[in-house]
Amino acid sequence: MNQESLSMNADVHSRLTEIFRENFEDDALVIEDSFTAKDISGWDSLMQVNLVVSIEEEFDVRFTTDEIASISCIGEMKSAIVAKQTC
Amino acid sequence: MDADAAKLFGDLSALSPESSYRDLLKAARKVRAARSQHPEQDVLPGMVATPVAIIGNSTLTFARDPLTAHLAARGIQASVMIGQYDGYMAEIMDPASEILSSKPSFLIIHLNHHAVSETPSLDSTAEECHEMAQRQVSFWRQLWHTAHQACGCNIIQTNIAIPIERANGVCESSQPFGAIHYLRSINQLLTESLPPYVTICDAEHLSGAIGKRHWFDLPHWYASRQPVHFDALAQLADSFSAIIAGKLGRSKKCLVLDLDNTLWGGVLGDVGQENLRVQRGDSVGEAHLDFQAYCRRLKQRGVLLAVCSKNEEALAKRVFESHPDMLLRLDDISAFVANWDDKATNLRKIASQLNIGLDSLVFVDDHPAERELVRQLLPMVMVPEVPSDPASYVRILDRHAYFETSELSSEDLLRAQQYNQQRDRQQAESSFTDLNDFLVSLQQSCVLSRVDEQSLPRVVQLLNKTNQFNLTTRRHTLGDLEDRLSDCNSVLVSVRHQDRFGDNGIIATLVARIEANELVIEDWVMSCRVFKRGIEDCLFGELVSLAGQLNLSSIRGIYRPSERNQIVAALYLRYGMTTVASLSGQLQEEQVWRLEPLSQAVLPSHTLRCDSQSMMTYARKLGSSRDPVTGENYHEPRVA
Repeated sequence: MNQESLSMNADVHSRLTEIFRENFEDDALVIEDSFTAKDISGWDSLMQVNLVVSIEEEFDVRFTTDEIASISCIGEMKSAIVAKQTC
Repeated sequence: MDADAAKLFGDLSALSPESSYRDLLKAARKVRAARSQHPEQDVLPGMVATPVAIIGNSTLTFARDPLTAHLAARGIQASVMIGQYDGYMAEIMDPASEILSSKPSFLIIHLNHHAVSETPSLDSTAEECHEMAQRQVSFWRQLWHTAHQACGCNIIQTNIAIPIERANGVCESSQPFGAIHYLRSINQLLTESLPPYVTICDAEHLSGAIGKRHWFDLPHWYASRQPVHFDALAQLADSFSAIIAGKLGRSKKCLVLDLDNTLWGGVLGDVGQENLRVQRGDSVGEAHLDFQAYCRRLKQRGVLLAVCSKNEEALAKRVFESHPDMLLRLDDISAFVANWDDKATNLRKIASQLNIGLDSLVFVDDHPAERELVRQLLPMVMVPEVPSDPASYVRILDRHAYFETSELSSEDLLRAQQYNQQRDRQQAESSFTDLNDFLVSLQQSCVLSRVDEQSLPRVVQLLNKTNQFNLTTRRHTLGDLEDRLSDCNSVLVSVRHQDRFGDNGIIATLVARIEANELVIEDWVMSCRVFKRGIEDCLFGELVSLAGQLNLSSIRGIYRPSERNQIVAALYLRYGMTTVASLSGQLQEEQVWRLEPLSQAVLPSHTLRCDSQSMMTYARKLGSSRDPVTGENYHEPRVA
């Protein structure tokens, strides 16, 4: 991975962390790429929608119909964001 | 207001109609946090509580937080019930449904075009299309009726936001079978002969204002049946909140305007009247004139206009009197304050001149420092954020919907005129040294009558809008009182007042019930415009004689102190009533006053000519339709 994409990745990670902290109302929450709904308590289908909407606003991107329902781990969220931002 | 409440208020007032869904999530969390910090309080300071439910044909779960936040920003602490996905029909038709049994004061029905059950085919005739639209609307009407019967709720239904796609091209709007043509006709039919408890929220207008490509969010519709784009949902929630605020008397009453670079371009003191930019043909002048024209339209429908400006008063007034291009004239302004004091002081002065609360004011000023000062010192005054370009003023003020009202009463149309008469009265008063001489010179008269279907909407408005002369500050819906019009144990009186300066319309109302041998005054309100005129004394006197005619032996009255109704704390004392108890309820202390026997009444003299003919008829009717022993209705047995 080159320098530019590394720093982009770090930026996405920190903004995403902020979104998770805000939605789960936990200022100390730490997220990892492998996390799925099972790893954070309170991540139900309603929370999934709030997360998706917050990400769409924060990164000014739109998820596709399929992504909204199917994205399940944080790593997938990040790569979808990066792919949409770079294209 | 304590520091926590002021902080929450400040956070909420930063919300605007454009706040994103995510901003509203954060704001709603703050409201919840404030409530959990003060579990002992049923209602947060400065707010009124009301139960709200939203149902429809889509997933409405995510409407909860935007509604909670926008309602709180308008001073309404709502508990929000959410209907099931596409559950609105069952929820209304089943009287035991969770929604109806939660007894919402406001039932919001949000429908999109998928809720329209029949659609014309290409060979449908115009007549068939029209009948189809009528069937659809009358089905919804039946639902409204059922819901209102079940819980007396106010209903807010959206009309249909019309989708963009046009398989039939322009025929979609020009032919009766076209989808656009058909949905427009449904929207038109929806507003025809609307029951008084129903308000149509114009989702079609809002979708156009936001932009339909943004409004219709197809990925989220397909993924989880979200009604509209989330940010559009946020704006829709604001529209619902404005309607509810209007119904609860929380709409603003007065628009306070700065002058320099707000009503006209340029600084009067620097450039002089002849060089102000306020004329057609000048770009900046046109923007200011259009803003004036918008303000004048607000004034015509009952919003008061006031001026609050750092200027020499005589110079500033001269512009209104003699500038040939000005649209607003001195007559349009109900309170004019131009001096060099700070604007917070002057806003206080305006509120007191007009006898309305500071929380009824909206303040528009182009100067960021003035706006900030007012926000800091008077957090209850609404101060919209306006950029320096005057072209944006109308749009921003309009989008906030501060003055939302679901119907215009004849009192609304006369209001500004009545406030001007009030100003004339005040001037007349200051030329009298003796108050009684002045009251005699007013040649006041009032007409007391029984509340009927015609006067009921105004009576409900008065009960819900009045904060100062209000003994209990209980709010009512039309439905609550409708049922009592024909109840022989209910006494509902309205008072119409006029004097030599003009007709004030219905300015006071009293709601009472007969309980055993006692007349119990439940609510009593009077408009602040007619304080200290003897009207309350006149009404109480008539009430005592009504009680006498009905052979009742006592009158009971309740006073519930609020932040605003100190003015009537000693009202019952004035009439010779004595306190029987101070009940410490959950919400606030309640004082119970009693007059027994009726002959104990102290009736202060007043100078009003009072037509009580219709009250006597009312008393006779009540007396003849009521069994004096059981209190039962002789002629019209009530259905349990």
